[in-house]
Amino acid sequence: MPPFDRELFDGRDRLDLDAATLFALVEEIDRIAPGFAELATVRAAFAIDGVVTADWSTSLADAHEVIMLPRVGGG
Amino acid sequence: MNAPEKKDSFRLVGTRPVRPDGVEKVTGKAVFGPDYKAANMLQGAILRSPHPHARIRSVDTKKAAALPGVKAIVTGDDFPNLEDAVVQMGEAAGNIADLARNCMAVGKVLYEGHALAAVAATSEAIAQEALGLIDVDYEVLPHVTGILDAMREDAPLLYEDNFTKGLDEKPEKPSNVSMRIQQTQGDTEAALKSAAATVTARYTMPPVHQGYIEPHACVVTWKADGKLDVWCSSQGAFNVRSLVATILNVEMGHVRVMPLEIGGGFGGKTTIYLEPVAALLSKKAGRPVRLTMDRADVFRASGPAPGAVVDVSLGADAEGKLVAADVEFRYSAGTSPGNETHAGLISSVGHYRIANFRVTGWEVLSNMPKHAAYRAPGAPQVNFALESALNDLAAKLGIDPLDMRIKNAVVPGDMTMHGTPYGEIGLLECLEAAKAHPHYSASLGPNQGRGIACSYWVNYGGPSTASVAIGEDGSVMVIEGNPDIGGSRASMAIMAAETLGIDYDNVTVTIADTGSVGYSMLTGGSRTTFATGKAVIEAAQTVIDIMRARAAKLWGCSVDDVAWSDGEARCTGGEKAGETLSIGNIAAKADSTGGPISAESSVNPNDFLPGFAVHICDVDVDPETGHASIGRYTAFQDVGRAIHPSYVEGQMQGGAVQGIGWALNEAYLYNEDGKLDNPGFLDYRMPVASDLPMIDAVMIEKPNPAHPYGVKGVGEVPIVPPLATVAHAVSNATGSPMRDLPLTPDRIYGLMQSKA
Repeated sequence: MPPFDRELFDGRDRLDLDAATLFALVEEIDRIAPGFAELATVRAAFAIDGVVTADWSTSLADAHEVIMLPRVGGG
Repeated sequence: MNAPEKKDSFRLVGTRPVRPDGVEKVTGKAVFGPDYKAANMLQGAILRSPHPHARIRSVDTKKAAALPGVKAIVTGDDFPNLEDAVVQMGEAAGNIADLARNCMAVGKVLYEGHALAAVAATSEAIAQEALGLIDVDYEVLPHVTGILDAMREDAPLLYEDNFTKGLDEKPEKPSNVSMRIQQTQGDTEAALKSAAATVTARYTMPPVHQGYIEPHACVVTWKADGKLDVWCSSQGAFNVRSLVATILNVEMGHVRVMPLEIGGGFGGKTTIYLEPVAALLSKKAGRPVRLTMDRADVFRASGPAPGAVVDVSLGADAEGKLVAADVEFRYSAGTSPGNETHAGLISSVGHYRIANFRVTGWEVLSNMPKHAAYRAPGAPQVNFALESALNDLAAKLGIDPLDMRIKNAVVPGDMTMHGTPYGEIGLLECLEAAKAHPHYSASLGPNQGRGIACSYWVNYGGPSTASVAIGEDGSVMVIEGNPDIGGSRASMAIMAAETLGIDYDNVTVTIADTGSVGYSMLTGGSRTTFATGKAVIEAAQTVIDIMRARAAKLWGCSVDDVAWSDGEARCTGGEKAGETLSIGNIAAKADSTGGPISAESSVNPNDFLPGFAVHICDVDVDPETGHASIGRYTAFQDVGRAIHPSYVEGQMQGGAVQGIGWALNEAYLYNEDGKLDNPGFLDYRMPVASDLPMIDAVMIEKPNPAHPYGVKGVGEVPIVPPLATVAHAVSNATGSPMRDLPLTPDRIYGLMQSKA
């Protein structure tokens, strides 16, 4: 999702990656876009097959899609 | 967490008891930020820049330091030299170095009112006199405050190293544009070309302030053991703790923040301004230091919400089905990047089913104070443009504007702009309720007009901690870490009492300091009743489990033979079957059955649901003066389930009133010198009670199935639709489109005259 697509991935909005958990996925993405892991802790949220989850140990074994969402600041 | 009891009716949820903090507040006894005093306290004062943009050549504090009674002076040189680093700030993130430099300028002042030195003295008068003795040598620089002016290639630059993020190619030259963000779907241009009707227009609005009555204030003591105590009002004591600790480079555990009562925040107290300055003064002076902003400081130096310039092209087929939206918005951010631009993007078109859209946002820096969150931050501006264009498009097609929205509204299962499916949302129910309401069909007189608009806000969940403890006499204490800014003590007490099966009056709720309860994210994002409520309910359930076990010990039976109902344990098997034990009975024997009874629960729920609102407004426009007055206003909102309906209605009414002010009156007015011309409530005109009719709040209860009592966030979405709603009403009253806010009498009169 914007702004991560252009900020980190040269405008790509989809990546095909294998990872067992969100922790592993973040590490994998960090290899593609160094610095992502640090950024993700404070700026990103993840939705696994449409369900937002805060537990990065969640298994991705049966997941088809993970959406990387920027966190939205409320008032 | 699943609902423990998905009942259709409750004993206490949905009732309207007196709020626990009410008596203290209406009798003037409650202690707010500027009220707090510490023993041996010094009074601080801050020297603020008279220039919107200047290099600080030197700051000479010698004469001020020599003034009798002056105990400490700090400047930017006293702050730790922080590297740029993105850290968590509330629900989102920000650059800690930007925040530190906003608390105290280093090298340059970036807006009129930017702090650049501070004094602590034995009296306010001495502190103020000392400020006058500080010699500052400025090199005044060109400034820029307007959004489009700041985007120009030849605009004065705030930073030589700011390169716009989010462009297809990294720019070669620096600019004041900090970020571009874009999301597309389908083929917007082709869809607009093939649409049966289109509307294209530009909409503008200046920055507006959150307008809280209580100014920013704090007392800080940097103790001899190196630990800090901070007393302040804020929307999150834990947020204050982490920001102060990070800016001052001290351990987080060494900072204890005591929350005081808050006199309004609306997002503007999700950040800090004074606390690190007071801390450094206290460290030098060896005494507690108080800092308080006056009203002009609040306007000049604390964050307004972004102003905006928004271009919209909207297309629909002949039946009114939206086919394409092209939205380009530019938000001001003040001196450093914020979080409103992304929020503007996801709030732009996501409440409608539109197959083709292109939404582009630009974040623009300028010589205004660093902007801050304001209720649904970033949503009202783009919503004003989109909803206004939709009203124009409906008129062009000859379709009722509510019917047009009903045709296009998202329903459960449709996708959000984030790519996740909507859950049990109630936008359609709100629209249908609005259409059926007598207000929508009431007749209008001459010079009157009616407007409507609807809106979306994402809401949030996030981490919260709460504890429930049973006193020796059976009384129940709830301890939470979220400041009560909208009646949350009452809602927490209701949820605890409902879960325990006891009376509301038997529960006492305490807002704890950062050393007395586990972490809770700040009170904002419409999250507290939802997330902290879950923690309270979970802790109460654990306490019930403990009390059942204690009752089993007292009865000598299995815990499986102890049920909990109506606030007491009931023995369901064995010799004691049929007996009951009250909470007081169990508490009286606590020491002999295992010790004190309490439980703390920490949660981090993400199963929140967004908020939707639909507003209807009638205005009367005086044709001789152009003054628009609100004749009738009705707000409809999907509220999940209202725990305390009075406070839900209060949120709906308060949001509507703030949005009406945004639409009709409020504006940051910068003059050619880059100085704010209206830093006070006399010239910055917020609506007051006598300006408005009663706001009729219609709650649509579509419970969130993921919350034990069905809660959805309610605090932010009601500020979103009033801008377009009021503008639509004035447009209909005058026959002239209203695309520039605020709709002051001179603006309306001018448009009426030019039409005539």
